[in-house]
Amino acid sequence: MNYLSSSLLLPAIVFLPLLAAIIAFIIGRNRLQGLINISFSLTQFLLVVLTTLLFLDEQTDQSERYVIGGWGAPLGIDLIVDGFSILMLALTGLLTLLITLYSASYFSDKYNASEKSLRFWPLWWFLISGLNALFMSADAFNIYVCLEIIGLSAAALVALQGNRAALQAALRYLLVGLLGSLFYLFAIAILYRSHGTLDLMQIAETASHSFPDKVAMILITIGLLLKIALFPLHFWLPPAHANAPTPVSAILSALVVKASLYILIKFWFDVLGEATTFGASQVLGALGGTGIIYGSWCAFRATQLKLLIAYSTVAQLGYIFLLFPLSEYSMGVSSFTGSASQAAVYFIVAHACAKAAMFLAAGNLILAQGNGEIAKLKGIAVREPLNVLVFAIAGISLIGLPPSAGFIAKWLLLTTAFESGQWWWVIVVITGGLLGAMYLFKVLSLAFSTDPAVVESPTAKSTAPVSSVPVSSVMTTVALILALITLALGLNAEFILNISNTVTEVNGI
Amino acid sequence: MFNKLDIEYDGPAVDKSALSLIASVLVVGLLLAVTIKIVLSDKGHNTGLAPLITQNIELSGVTNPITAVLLNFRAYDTLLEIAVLLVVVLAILPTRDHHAPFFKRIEVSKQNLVLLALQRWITPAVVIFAGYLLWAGAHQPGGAFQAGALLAGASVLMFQSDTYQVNYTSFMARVLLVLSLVVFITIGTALIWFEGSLLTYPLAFSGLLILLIETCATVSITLALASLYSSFIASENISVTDHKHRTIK
Repeated sequence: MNYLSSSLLLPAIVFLPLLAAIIAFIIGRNRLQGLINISFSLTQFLLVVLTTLLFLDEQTDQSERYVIGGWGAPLGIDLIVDGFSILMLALTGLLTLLITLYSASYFSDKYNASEKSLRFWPLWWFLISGLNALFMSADAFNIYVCLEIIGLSAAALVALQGNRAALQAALRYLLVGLLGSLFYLFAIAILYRSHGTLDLMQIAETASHSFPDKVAMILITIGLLLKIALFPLHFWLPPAHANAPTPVSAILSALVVKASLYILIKFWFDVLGEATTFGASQVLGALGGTGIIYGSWCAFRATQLKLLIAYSTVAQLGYIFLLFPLSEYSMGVSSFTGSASQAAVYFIVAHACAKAAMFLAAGNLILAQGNGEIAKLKGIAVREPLNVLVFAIAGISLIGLPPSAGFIAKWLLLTTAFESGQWWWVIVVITGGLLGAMYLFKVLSLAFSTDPAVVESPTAKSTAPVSSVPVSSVMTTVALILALITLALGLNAEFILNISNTVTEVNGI
Repeated sequence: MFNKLDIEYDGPAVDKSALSLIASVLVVGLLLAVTIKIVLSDKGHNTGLAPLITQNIELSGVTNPITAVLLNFRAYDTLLEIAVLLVVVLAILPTRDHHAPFFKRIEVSKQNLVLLALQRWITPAVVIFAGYLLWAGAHQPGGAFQAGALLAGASVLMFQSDTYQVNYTSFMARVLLVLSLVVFITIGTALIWFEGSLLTYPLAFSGLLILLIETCATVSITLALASLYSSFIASENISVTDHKHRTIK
């Protein structure tokens, strides 16, 4: 064995969650279940950290190719990571660790969700391994398989909740996801026909402004927009994300939609960059902008706490789509570098951490309160101060106030918009921020308003709903850690930008 | 005759199902038109990867190009596809009865003679044919998925008489369901140790290893497909009996 390089660890990052899924499925419900899963997530996290460190140490644009089966592209399948994908892997590793900790509590015998744990853990690990496999794949068809794993396991996880609304949402999510996958598969068939290979890099070498490539790009965009839930295609997201069990909502909003977004960015900038046009990027930006306004407005009108957060995801995804018009203008056709890409990458990380923290905190508040009505949250800050604090910190990041990751992300976005002279996006971003403040402060002001009848009277306990249960400290702590990470990212912006843009770093030296 | 307007329509002004039908027909039509235009306008990369596969087929351990692609050149995809199958099974599997036995035989008093004869005559033949398909996959069309589908068909035939019941959540069933994935992963990672890279079969053993993986895959695929059928029938039966109760009353 010669020296260890980051690419050698890539298969392990896919296979470890698969192994965890198999073991979780075989052992079934067990007293050690939580412990086993936590140790798997810890190992997984350490492995991802090691890979990231090795990758940073190599100081390259992208890692060496890991050649599966010794065939090499185009005959076989290769694995490869670049700065963006290693960042997504690291983010997945971190969120997997934290949400697994949370789930071990959420699905323990203390709460009535425990009988679902038999199905939850295997599906959870399949989802994680699908995400990891997606972020390192260098093959167009392999990406399709990964999208299938992610889509099917995510829909099954939503259905886990078991009530009528969740089942309906899950079925719709499944069908929309399959439709999106089919669009993608059709595009891959066209690409294979005109390029004779499925390897992304080899397709990129021969990509041109030709008709088949353009059609493929359009189909990929439509298919993935369905999965990402950009504005007119967002209809399935709020019910699916709102009705899922809390840890599932967190991972769906934080990572699963981002996985499709990652593929879209990869195709739009790297693989089929030649086939994209300025007009198309403006259309994507306009849809994103409408999504910001519409999503924020729906979030403001929502009466259920989790539905509000789900609509906020629709709005936040809109911001990331401003990447498409802004980067095209500043950097030519096919490059994912420069300030717009930095803003987008930062937005993805900031939103993932903040939204996961917010969903977990909301789940805790709902557990404590007994139901998800926003109106019933009055005065909850007295009973659950930490969870309301987490909600507030995550909210600050989503609105984009300093000092938080969301602030840096929005700052980067605004400066890019000014630099490129496309001032109209500035208006959209600022309006979105104000609307965001409206719907989040609506919740917070309710939570902090003290209702003397409930809080101060000694009979407060009896008026509390029967179904409420004390929230375990682990669940609160995990949400708090995520919120603190959001804050830390706001104070330490260079860190993320360095990982995702090692290229510019090397060139700069 | 037109003095009296006798056309009356009580439905909504815009029929939603008709609208969605029109929309989907339009989308399909557009996709079809685009496909035809692409096929006509552009010659494309006519050969694709076929020549490369023919060149390397001798190194793959099998002679059937499809099996070579599925189990050797792109074995990683197949491994993940098997995981997809397991996800589907997980999604529909019932969660109760972990401790009931894997296989149960119930004596049914009323036997259907024709069904019994069918089961006695056809099932063994199907099982043998599935075994042949699995074996033949190395050099002609066939393989794990086809053999698994046939075996699942045979088990559907066996389920018709309510004599046999399989508990898919028993320990044994769970082991058999994950068997193919476990074997695939074990072989794949063990080869990192021996050959230096994931799923790199050594030339001398590649045919054997592929057959081993395919055999395990056949078992898992059979059980997975049979479980899909059983859970579908189970939910159907529940609704049918509900219906009967209501109608009798």
